[in-house]
Amino acid sequence: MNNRLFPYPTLVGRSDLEIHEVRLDGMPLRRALISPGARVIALDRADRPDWEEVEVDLRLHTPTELRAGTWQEIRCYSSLFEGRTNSRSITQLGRASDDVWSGTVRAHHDDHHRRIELDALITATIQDEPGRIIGRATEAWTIDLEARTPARRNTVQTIRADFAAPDRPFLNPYREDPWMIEASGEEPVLYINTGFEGLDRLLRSNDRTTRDMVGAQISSDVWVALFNAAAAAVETDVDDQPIWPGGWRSSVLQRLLPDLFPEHSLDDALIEIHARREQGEGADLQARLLHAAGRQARLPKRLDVHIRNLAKKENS
Amino acid sequence: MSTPSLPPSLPAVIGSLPPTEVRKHLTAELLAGRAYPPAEAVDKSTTWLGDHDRRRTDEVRDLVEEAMDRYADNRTASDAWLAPRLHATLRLTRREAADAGIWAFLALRLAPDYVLWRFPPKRPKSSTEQSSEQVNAARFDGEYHTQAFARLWWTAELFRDGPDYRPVEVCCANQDMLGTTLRLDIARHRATARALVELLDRRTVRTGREVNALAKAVNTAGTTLLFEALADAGTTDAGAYRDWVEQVGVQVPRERLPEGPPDGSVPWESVERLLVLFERLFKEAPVRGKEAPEEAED
Repeated sequence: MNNRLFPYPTLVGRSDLEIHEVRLDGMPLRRALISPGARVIALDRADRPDWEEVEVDLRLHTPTELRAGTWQEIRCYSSLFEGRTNSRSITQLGRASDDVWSGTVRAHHDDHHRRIELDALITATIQDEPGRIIGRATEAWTIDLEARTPARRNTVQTIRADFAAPDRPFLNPYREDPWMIEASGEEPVLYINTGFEGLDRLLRSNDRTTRDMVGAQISSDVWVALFNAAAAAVETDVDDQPIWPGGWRSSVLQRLLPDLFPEHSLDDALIEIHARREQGEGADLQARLLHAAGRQARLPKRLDVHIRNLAKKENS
Repeated sequence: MSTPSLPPSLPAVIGSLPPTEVRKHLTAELLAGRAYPPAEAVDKSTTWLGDHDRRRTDEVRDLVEEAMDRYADNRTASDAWLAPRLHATLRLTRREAADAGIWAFLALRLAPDYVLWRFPPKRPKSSTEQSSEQVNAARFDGEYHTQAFARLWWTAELFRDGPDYRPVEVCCANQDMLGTTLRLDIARHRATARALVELLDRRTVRTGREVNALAKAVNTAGTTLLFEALADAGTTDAGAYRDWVEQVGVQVPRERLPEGPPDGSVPWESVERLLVLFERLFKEAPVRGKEAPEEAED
């Protein structure tokens, strides 16, 4: 397991979670909707929008070190988790063979909203303490309640709309802008202004460099907006220590903070941005943020290509 | 604070407000408690939930008014009364409750007066002299553990023991249990939530600082210990919950506790097993200012 120090031995090798079959109200889900590559199960809602229960038959392949080690009372579990509905359930897996554990997990539609994380946990008794977590699935799966095709979903939903349209009054004030990022809600949304002349042509341009440049610019703007919204949502606990804001906000911070403060641990970086915001020292933070957002958007590389291409065109 | 008058007629059913609209209504006037959001504009941008008895606005409105009436002298104490009754009145599935737009509708349209009553405008903690008194906008539009109505509903949902709302009352009676624990992962395991409340009920933990120390210690332990492996929370009967949600015409009692969804109780052996562990963790945990008298908490 990574990123955390455990005061006892934990598993080093891979634990792979394999999905055997998925059923919606007892009906097997089409194989095409289960993607081992992206580790996504897409519950195509069009087929069965009113499903009540999803069942997943799965197998966990544990490394041989689990048997070779000194761990006692080893147990494997599968967990289902969705933050937005505060739903978490654990199912114990049975031992199928030496290094394979299997079981069926169930989730009810009423308890879930959008995306369920499907993970596995391995526990053992350590120094008389049962239930110590010694390993997790190397890669968790996502059960996506809305996806039609199983792809790793970019968490930013994109909506194309004419910002001047009367049926979208909240976009009207931004009608002169090419795009707008709404990051105050449960899920961030990127609006692309179809009324902004030429933008659509740029985005669909055959010239890959131009297309990528615009894409990178939008992407960089999105990261900046998401980061600022996430940082503003950081609250403090009773000891005045900042708390991770949860949901997409935590993911955004965790992705950008290593680029903002490469010398800090994640938790220290959170304390750092919180302190700077409290003390009104935001200027340097914004500079670091632009750097980090640009890196996420791969802006330097694209800009570089763009400049080289332009130079080529001028010389030719 | 002079109270602005409420817009007259409420729509019949509850709706959901999209986040972009919500932000528009979080004006300085509202946060200072001087004006409520314009009802017409809110209604225009609301997505109405299907007409159903469990989504009627009048029952929720009555309940909230009664809470303000009963607890006029002790706003904080209203949480323990309102949380179980709001849960039993709204009858939402978790899937529905995950829609922040519903909570925003309740706060901005159905009862902005309640939000301002429960969380009166005050100067922000880390502010300069000039800044004016206002309500934290998150009370209208924040996450489930902060938003004025969502915090009550989710406390009731996560701390109830099947149909029994008594643990919810105990939890709400301590603002730190409600404020700190609700946002932690440990509140998502029924047996853990039940055991934490039991320690409060037995007065093993009493002050806000003790509760915070306990919650922190248990949450930290939960990063290396799988509580579910130690203490089975029992099976939850999703069908029973759904049946409870669909029941209509149920009068939610004002004096005695209502009955929650009979979707399964936590086995007591599980709670006892966790109590032993949590008592030990609490003994080892540092409590801030152990000797200091407890501060008044909001």
